Amino acid sequence: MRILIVEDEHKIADAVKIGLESEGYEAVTAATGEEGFYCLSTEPFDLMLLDLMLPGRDGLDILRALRAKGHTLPVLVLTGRDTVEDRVLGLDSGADDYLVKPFAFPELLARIRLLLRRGRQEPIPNMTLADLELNLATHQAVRGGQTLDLTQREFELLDYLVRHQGHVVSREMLAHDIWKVKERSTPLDNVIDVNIARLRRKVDDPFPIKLIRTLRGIGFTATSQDEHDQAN
Amino acid sequence: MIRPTNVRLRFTLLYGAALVATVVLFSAGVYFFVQKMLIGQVDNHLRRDMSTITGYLRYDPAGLEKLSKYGSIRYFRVQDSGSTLLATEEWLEVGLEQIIPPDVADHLPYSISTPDNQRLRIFSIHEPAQTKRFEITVAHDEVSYRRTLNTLGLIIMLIMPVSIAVSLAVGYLIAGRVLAPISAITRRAEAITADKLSERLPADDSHDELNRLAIVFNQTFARLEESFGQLRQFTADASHELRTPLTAIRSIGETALRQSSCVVDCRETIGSILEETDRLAQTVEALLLLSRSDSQALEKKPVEVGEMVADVVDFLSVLAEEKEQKIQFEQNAKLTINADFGVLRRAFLNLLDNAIKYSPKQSIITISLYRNPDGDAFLDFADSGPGIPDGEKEQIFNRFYRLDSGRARSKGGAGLGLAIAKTAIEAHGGAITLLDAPGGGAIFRINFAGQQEMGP
Repeated sequence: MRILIVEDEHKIADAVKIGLESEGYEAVTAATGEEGFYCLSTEPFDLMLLDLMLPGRDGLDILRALRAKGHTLPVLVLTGRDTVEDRVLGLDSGADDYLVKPFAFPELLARIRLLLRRGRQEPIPNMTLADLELNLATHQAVRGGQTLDLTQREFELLDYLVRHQGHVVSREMLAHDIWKVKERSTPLDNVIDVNIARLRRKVDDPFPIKLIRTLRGIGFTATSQDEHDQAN
Repeated sequence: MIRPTNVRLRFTLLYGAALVATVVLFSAGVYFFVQKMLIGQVDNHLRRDMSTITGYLRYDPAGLEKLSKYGSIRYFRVQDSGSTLLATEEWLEVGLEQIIPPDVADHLPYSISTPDNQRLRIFSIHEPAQTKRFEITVAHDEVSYRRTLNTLGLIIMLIMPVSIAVSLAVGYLIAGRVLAPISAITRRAEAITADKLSERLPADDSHDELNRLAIVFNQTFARLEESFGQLRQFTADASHELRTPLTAIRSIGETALRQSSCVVDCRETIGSILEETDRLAQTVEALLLLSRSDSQALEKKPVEVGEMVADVVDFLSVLAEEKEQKIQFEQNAKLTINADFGVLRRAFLNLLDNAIKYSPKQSIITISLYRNPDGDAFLDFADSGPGIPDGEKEQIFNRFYRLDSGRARSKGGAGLGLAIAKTAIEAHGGAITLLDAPGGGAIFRINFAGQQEMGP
């Protein structure tokens, strides 16, 4: 999978490139819109990350020109602006999704996975993790033969973590996808922490192998692998 | 002295005072002028009589006797060296002989009163004739002159209050008409609020005062609009300039954590950096939210306050459960206001979070939405915490203010929660006050009276 990163802040571009490469993607950076155009016309790409605030031609301008030329590759817009007009403008002009800076890397990865998967047969997610099994029809979680007594919210949270198993889930992702809230706030962080703590009490405390882990400064992950590989 | 607050009334009173002064001065002037004129007439009369008498004295001394008995001059006397030679009957009757001493002639008329209160005008001269030196005194009563003057005074006294009353009424009407355009300008200026700053008052090229007032208002609005625009631009610029380095720190840190070469110690360090970055990012977002509320760059649509509160209670109930607290929401009124959903929700979220944070375990937090008898809507957040000391009730809403610096940080947040709540509430035309709850604890009371309500 080849991803084109159009971003003028080279520190961000480089960090994202390294991060994507460590995930097994092939990444190319372009510092201006023109450079991005050139890359797109000479090499095939599966997805483009596009910063809106670029020197010279604005990101939206490039996006419109791209769509006008008939390019259909998925575009994930990165923006420092978060007012609603900008969002609407971004999606109207042919963006497939957007992320507001400063974004969390796990969320960027999740969005990229989603966009690359789009239009293809959705693989049935593996709803088991080690000895934990989720039944989506009955909303029941069973671990080691024992049915866990989870609230609706806790089940949703566990469901989300298991779906993203092996990947990191950031607080932003939980805020958007579980609590359906646009912006983060201190109360929300507290709510997330309390829910994670409760979930861990029910899912992990009675068992020797801990599945839910907190990654300082990044988020959470559900994994059966051992400690040293936790970040992957 | 009580100063009337109403400009119209003040204008009328000032006008009235000036008018009274003018009328009094004018009336006094007329009165004294007429008095002078009438006295002059009496004095002329006296001089005519005097020349008649001196004429007799010079050319027909014998006729003088006849004049005193049958003539038209009612009061006169002729003396020679202090003794009276001749006096009319009336002269003696009213006792002038006793009042006017001899040899007082000063050749100027003057007024006296007789014992029975008759006012008389007296005129004495020395007249040398037939080698003697006579003293002649003539008198004339002032009855007709006094009567005229009194009538004039009466007329003045009657007309003055009536004319003042009429003038005051007219003045009040005129003041009203003069001030009416100003009231119109005030009403229009009031309607030009922060979200409609591009509107202007009607003004033309004429140079009258009211037009100039409208022009000055318009210039002020233009400056305000410009500074609001600059603030918005600043917010947009600042958000870009602050987010870019934060994004870089985050991306670099998170990428580094993914490298297998990163050892455990290093992970701890980077994790810690990322945590602080995250907190900084949240503070930046909070400041941007504040600045957006300050500049009124809100996107408002109708919001049902009760529903929003219930949603917020549901959202944070898990935090209360952890402390075994109970949240009661008493909705005794319906309220729909025009609001920015995200910003208003954030205010309620912060207030309830604050109540949960500072209430002890197993306590009750009460939220109530109600109306007072006047129909004004209120929303109370009552906690069972330690309450807020009087001296800090105002400061607690200040940005970055901490009630107890040692304790608060561990409870999270950057001291912006209540500042955001206050700014957000005020940006929606509401007001927030902090009261003491009867059983201890604090009540944060939101008054929505200033808010344009939507529907019933």
